[in-house]
Amino acid sequence: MYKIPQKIRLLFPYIILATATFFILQPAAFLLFGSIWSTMPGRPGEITLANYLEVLNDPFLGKVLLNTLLFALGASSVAIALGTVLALLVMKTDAPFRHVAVFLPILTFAMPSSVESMSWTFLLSPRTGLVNIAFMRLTGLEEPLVNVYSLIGMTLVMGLNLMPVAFMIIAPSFSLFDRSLEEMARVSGAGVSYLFRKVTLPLVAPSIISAFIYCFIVALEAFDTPAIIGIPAGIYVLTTSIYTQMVSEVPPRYGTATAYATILLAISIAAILLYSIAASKADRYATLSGRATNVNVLRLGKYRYLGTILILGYLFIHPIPLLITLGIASVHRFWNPDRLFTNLTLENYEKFFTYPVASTAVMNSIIVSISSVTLTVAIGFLATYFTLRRNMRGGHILNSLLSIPLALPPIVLAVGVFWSVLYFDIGLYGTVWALVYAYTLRYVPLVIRFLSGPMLQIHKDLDESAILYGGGVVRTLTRITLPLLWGAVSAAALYVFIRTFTDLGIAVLLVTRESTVLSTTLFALWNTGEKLTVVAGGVVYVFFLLLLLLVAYRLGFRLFEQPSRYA
Amino acid sequence: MSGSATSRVPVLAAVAAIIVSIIAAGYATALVQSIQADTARAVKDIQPAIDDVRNRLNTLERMVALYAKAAGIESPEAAEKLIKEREELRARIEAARKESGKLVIYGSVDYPDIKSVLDAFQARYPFIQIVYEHMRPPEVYTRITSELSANKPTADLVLVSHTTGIRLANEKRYLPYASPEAAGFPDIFRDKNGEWTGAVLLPIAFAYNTDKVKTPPTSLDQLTDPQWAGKVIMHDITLGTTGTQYLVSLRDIVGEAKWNQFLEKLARNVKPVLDISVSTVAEKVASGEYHIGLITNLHDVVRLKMQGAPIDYFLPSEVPLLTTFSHIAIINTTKNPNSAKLFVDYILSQEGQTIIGNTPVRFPARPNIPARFTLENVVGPAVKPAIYPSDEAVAKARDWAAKFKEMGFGAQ
Repeated sequence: MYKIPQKIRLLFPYIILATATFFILQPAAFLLFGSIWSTMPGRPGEITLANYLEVLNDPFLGKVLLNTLLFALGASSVAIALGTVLALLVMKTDAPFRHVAVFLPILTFAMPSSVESMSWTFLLSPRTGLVNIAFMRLTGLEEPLVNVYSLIGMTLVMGLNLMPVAFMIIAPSFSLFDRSLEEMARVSGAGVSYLFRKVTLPLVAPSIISAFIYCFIVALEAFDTPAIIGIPAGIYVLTTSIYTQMVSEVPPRYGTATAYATILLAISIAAILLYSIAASKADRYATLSGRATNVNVLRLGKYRYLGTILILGYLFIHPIPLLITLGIASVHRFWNPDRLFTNLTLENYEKFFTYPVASTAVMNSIIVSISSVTLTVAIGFLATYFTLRRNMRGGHILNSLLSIPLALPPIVLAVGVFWSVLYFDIGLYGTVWALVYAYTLRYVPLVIRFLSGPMLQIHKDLDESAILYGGGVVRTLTRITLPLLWGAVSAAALYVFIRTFTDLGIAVLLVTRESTVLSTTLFALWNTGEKLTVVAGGVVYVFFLLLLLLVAYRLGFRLFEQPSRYA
Repeated sequence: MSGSATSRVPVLAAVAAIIVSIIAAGYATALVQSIQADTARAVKDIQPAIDDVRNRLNTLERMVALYAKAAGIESPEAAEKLIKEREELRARIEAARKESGKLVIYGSVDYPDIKSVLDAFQARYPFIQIVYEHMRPPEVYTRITSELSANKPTADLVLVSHTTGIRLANEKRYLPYASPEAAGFPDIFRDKNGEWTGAVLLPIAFAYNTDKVKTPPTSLDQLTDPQWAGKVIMHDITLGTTGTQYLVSLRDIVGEAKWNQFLEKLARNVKPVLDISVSTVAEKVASGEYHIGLITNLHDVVRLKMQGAPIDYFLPSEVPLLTTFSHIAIINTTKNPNSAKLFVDYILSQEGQTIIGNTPVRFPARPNIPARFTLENVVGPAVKPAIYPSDEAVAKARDWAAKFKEMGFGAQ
C-alpha cells in the first residue's frame, strides 16, 4: 500500500473542491452572464438588465409561472401517490401479480418520454384519440371523455411518466429497514393498516419526501411532455417558454430565455433547500444495522384482492395500452383513427433502419451512456460517502455545488455547456465527450439522491467499527459500504444509463453529425414530419434498451432489490 | 552540184522538224483535250461528294446555331464566354482536388430529401466527401454564428430556408459567387451579389380534411365563419418565422383593410390552435384532429395525399400560392472554396434540380425542369406562384409576431 504524505492529504479536499467548482460553475457562469449581456456571449455587447425587465413586463409571465407550479406539483403528487402504493404492494406484500408490476413500469421508464407523450396523444386526443372515439361511439355523446390537450391532461401524463422514478427511489427503502421494528409492532397486536401508518410509512417517509422533491424538480424542468402536449394546447410552462425563445424564434432571444431560466433556477434552489432540510432530519431513521437480515413480507389477508386490483388497474391504465398503441401506430403509413388497419406498412421500420446515421448513433449512445454512468456513479458515491460519513472539510459546500446543475433545466444546461466547450477549448466541442460532460454535471446530484437515503440507513457503527479495527478508507468502502449499498448503487447506475440513453433536451444542442446519438436521430426524423417513423424508432429503442437491461441484469445490476429474494 | 546537195539537207530537216512539231502539237492537243475531259469527268464524279460536304457543313452550321441558341449563345462573344466557363470549371476541379476533400453542409432540408443529390454529386466528384448535418433553420443560424464567434471550424455551405438564411446574409457571412448555373434562375431566386441562390421551393398552402370537409372555404371571409371554431390548426405566427412572415407578406397582396378584418375575425370566431412545426399542421389535418390547417408545406400535403390520407390543399380566392425557398450559400470562412463552388454549380444545374424534383415530394426552384414534382405539375400551369417574404416581413417579423400575440393568437 502506498502512503500519501499528510500535507498533501490535507490539501486533497481543497483540490477536489477547486476542480469541481471550475467544471460545475463554468457553464452556469456563461448562463448568468448571458442573462445580463445584451448580445450572445463572445460578441460585443454591454451589461444590461433589459432582459429581466422584458421578462418582468411579459404579460404572460404570471400565467406561465402558475402553469409551471400547478403542473410540477400535480405531476409529482400523482407520481408519488402511485409510486408509493405500488412500491408498497410490490416490495412488502404478497399481492398476486406483483412481479409483473415490477417490470412494466421499467418498460415505460425506458421509453423516451417524447414517445410516451405521443402515445398518449394517440389515445386521448379529443377528436382522434382511440379512447375518446370509443367513448363517443359507445355513449353517442359529442364531448370527448378526456382531453389530453389541457393542463390536467399534461399533468396526468407527466405524473404517470414520473411514477417509475418515484417507485424506484421509494422501493429500496421498503426493503432496507429492520424487520424487528415491524415484528415488535405485530407482536404488540397491531393490525395491517395500523402497522402501515405508524411504523412502515414513517420509516420510508424520508425516501418519499426526497422522491417528491426530486419528481417536482424533474417536472419543473421537463421538456418533452410540455412540448408535445402543452404547446399544441397553448399551455406554456417555463421550459417550453425558454425553448421557444431559444430554438423556435428567429433570431433567438438568448437574453430573455436565460432570464427565464434564472427564475426557474430560483424555484429549483428553493426546492433543493427544502430537500436538504428533509434529508438532514432523515438521520434519525437510520435503521439498517449490522443485525438486520431480511425484509418482512406483509400478509395482506382480506386486503389481498384490493392489492391485485390496484396493480392490475395500474397496468391497464399505463404500460399496457401505451405499448399496444405504439405497436399499432408504428405499422401505419399515416395516423387517422377512421382508417385504422387500412394503410398498414413496415416502411416506418425500414426508414428507421436505413436512416444513414443510425449505426453511428447507436454506437455513440452506448459509449456516451456507459462513460456517463461510470463517471457519475463514481463521483456521486465518493461525494455521498465523504460528506455523510467522513464529514470531509468543505463537504457540504461540495454537495451544494454538485447540486447546482440539478437546478438548470437540461436545455439551458446544454446551452451553458455548449458555450463553455466552445470558448474554453479543451477539444470537447463536437465530440461525444461534450455530452458526457453535460450528463455528468446533470446526473451526479441524482446519484447522490439515490445513495444518501440508503447510506443514512446504514448505521454509522458499521464503517466506524471497520475503521476502528484498522480498515483503511478504500478497504472500508469496498468491503463494507459498497456491498451494503450495492442495490442502491446499481439502481443509480441503471437509472443514469436509461436517462442518458433517452435524453433529448441536452443532446439536441450538443451533437454534431459525428457525435449524434439515438435520441437526436429520432428527433431529426421527428422534424421531418415523419412522426410514425419516430414511433417505430421508439419501439425499436425500447426493445434495444430492454436487451441492454437484460444484459445488465445478468451482470448483477438491479433497478431495485427483487422482492422474491426475501419472500 | 555539190552546193545544191548541201543546201537540200537543212530544208529536209526543217520539213521533218515541222512535221514532227505538227504531230507533236496534235498529240499535245489531243492529250490536253483528253486531260481536260478526264478532269471534267473527275469533277463531275466528285460533285455529289462536294455537295454532300457542303450540305453537311450547312447542317452543322445550322445545328451549332441551334445549339448555341438553345444554350443562350447568340454571338461569338457568348460562345467564347462558354468556352471560358468550361476552362474555369476544369481549373476549379483541379483546384478542388488540392483542397481538403471534405465539405460540411448545415442544412434545414431533410436529409432523406437531399440525399440523392448529395450521392449524385459524390459520384461525379469522388474526391469530395460530403458531410450533411440536418438541423432546424434557427439552429443553423445559432451554430454558424456561435462557431464563427468562437473561431471554431464551421460549415462550408448552408442549405437553409430563406426566411432564416437572409439573416446570415445580412450579417455578411456569405461568400459572393456568381455561379454560371444561377443564370438559369429568375432574379427573385438569386442575390444580386451572388451570395445565395434558391435551390428548393417551399410553397405554402392551406389544407383541409376531405372526410370532414366536403367543400373547403373559397374566401377569407368563409374561413373566419364561427362554424370552424376549434377545428383549425395554424403554424405559430407568434414566433417570427414562416407563419409570421407569410401572413405579413399577405398583407400587401390582399390589402390592409381586408387583411386586418380577416385576422380580427379569425382570432375572435375561430381561435386557431397554433403549432410550432409547419409539417405537423398537415399531419394533424390528415389524422382528422383538425378540419382545416392554415400555413403548411404544400409538399407535406401532397405527400400525405399520395399515401392515401384524406387531405388536400386549398387557397381562398384572394390568396395566391405564395412560395419561399431554401437557398444554397457558401460561408465566407470556408477553406474549400473551389469544392464548395462545384457543389453550388451542381445543385443548381439542370441535373441536380431534376434529382430534387424526382424526390417525393420536393419542388425544384429552377424553371422548366423535366421532373415529376415541379410546382407546375402539381398545382397546374394556370396557378402563378408569387414569392414571399416581402422585405418588410423579414425586417419586422419580430414586431409583427408580438402584435399577433396581442391580437389574441397563441398562449392560453
